[in-house]
Amino acid sequence: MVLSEPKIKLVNINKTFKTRRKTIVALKDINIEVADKEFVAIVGPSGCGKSTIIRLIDDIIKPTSGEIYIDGEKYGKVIPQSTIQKMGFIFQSPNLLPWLTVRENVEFTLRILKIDNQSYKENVDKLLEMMNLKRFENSMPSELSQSMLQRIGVIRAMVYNPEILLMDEPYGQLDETMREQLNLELLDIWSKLGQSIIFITHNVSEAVLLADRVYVMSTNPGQIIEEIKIDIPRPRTLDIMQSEQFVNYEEKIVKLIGKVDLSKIK
Amino acid sequence: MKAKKGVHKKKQKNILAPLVVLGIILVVWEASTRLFNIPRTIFPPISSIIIQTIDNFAVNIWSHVLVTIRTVLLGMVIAIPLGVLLAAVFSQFKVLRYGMTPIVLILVVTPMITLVPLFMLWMGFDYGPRFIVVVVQCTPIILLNTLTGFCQTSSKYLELMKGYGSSKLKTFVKVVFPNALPQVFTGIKLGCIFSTIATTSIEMVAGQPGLGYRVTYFSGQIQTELVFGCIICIASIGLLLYTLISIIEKRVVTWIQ
Amino acid sequence: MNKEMALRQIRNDKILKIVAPIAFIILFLTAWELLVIFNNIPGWVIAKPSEIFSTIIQKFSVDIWPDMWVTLKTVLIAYPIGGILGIVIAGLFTNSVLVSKAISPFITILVCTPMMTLVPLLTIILGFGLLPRIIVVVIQTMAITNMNCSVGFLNVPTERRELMQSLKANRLVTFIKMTVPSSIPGIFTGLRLGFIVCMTTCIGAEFAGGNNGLGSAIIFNTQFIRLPLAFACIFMVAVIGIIGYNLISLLEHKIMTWVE
Repeated sequence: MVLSEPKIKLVNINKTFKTRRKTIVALKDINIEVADKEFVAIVGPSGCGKSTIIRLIDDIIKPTSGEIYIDGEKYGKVIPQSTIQKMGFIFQSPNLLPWLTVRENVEFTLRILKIDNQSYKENVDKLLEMMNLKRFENSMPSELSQSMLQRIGVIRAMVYNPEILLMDEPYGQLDETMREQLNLELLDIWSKLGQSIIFITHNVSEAVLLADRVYVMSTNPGQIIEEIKIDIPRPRTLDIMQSEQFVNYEEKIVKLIGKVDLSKIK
Repeated sequence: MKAKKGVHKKKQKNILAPLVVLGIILVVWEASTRLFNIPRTIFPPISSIIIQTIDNFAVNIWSHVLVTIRTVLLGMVIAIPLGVLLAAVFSQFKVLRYGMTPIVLILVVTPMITLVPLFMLWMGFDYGPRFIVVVVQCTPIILLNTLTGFCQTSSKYLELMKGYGSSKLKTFVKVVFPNALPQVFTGIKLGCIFSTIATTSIEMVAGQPGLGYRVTYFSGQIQTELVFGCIICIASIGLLLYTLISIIEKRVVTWIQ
Repeated sequence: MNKEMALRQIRNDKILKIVAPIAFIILFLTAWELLVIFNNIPGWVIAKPSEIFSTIIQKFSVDIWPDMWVTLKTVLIAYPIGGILGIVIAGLFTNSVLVSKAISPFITILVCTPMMTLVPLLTIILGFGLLPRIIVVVIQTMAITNMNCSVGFLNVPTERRELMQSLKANRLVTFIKMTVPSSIPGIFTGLRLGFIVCMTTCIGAEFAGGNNGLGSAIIFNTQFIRLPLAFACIFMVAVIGIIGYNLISLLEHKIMTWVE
């Protein structure tokens, strides 16, 4: 339950995709709230529509029915630039443009949003230094590893100081050690910059480690089964993953997901 | 059963959109030529093109259509196996492959129709041997694309076959050739495009019979409707051939979307 | 030991790639020359390579260059126009999947129609200048470039499209900053095929009407049994084709400094 006006609010969201062959109900009656500066994770099996939810929030897709509120303002047909600038989207794969240098890739969002003035340009330097990537600013993406590219993708989304980060399984394609390192890095950034984050993952441990609250989803149709508050104190380290409290949360969520009929997963 | 119904619906949508555009084009064509009083010698309305062509079809056009079709088809029927066979041979010997690839490229980039006047000198004006021009123009591009396809087999597939002690022939038939099929079809489709160009060029130069010749003839007589009629016939032949190959491609190369 | 052998193999391959074609060409020309000489093939059937090359050297400026320049002019004017039109129109039509599905059959029709068939008519209307040929070559080049570019533009990776959507970039910005750079290989395939088609249609147009240009010269020289000149003109067409094609490939290499 959120007391003050939530940062992000989805009310009775439904999304149906009509392909040539059949009608797919991707999302049914989704109600989600994210408070200011809160870290929320959404977990669920593949194909449950988690990625669709954040695309609805970022207005890449429009809902079939239901309302979306950012800072109390409802989405109309056209979203104002100021609202778009509140959100940064981080994709599943780094998605950097191969013909631009690292620095040019990070500045790319500024250029497209037409806000490349001096203060934002300084932000580029600040973020690159904060994540220890300054020395790569003139390298080409093809020269760097997946994990580094993914971190640059995060910087690219943060460079215009969005208040909301929408992250679509950003570390899903990396190996476990790398993922844990980047999880800690993300928590560090979040503690310093305080964005409201929606983090999509199918990895339950990752969700419990990172989030204040976890929404657990089922698939076919995509629905929210339960909302679980993670009461582990911060700052969180990798050690707490062994604690009984942590393991209990994990088991609870896994059981909830496990209740889903396997034959329904695409 | 449901999947089949769905695919059927997709095909319907795919046909509907172009048909709508076709309708728009025909209406605009007819209306603008009549409204702006464009002289029929320069750009006649589509209705008179259709009427005149049908009127004259049996007498003046049909036999030429058959001649052109024959040249195109005969040429392609020879060019396709020839190109594929030569590519198969070249791909097996490094010397041939390295030596012939630039030469074939030169043959692709140089329009082989430049040889048309020479062919007429050697073979005369009879329409019998004209398919040779089509063969000469189309084989290089089919060869080039097929050769590229054969030489692009991923080493992991070759290693797989080697691991099973597979003979070169078996590897070729079971892995190299299927892997190259997309490229082969690209080459054949390009060959189709060039086949009509080649046929038309020799018919325009050598004269009787053939649709190319008819275009020149009707142009000289300023029977513009029939000129357009013949052009539409040539286009139809090319389009039908291209579409036929595309349909075969979709049936055969099922693993690429 | 293995690395050394591998490096030597690569070097040998590089040498072979240059030597083999030259060797084949020399073999071919020698065989041609000898066959003509030993079989006493008369000069009105075929010309010897030696005759052809001496003709090129002796008669270039008077008998070859004027027509070559006409053909070159046609290609130099029509190809860039056709190529750029093809890219731009493909960009316009691929904005919506529905529109490109509706239009693509008509582009295919344009591609499959030999545009040289319009030359006799256009010559009667517009006269004997270069304009009929240029128009015809532009349309034919535009069609095939469009066809190939459309495929590239429609196959941009989904996540890149979503990146531009998440930043609410308008269509023009998305096209210039994302679609075009992502589709460079497809664009250049279109440009290369466009060039090949441009050359063929140009010669075909010269066959179909008009009395200048290398195509006309080949017909003219063959009719008058000046075969060394006819072959020389064919050779010059090949030269234009080879140089043009290599220029395009060079441009492609320069632009593709970041191969994915």
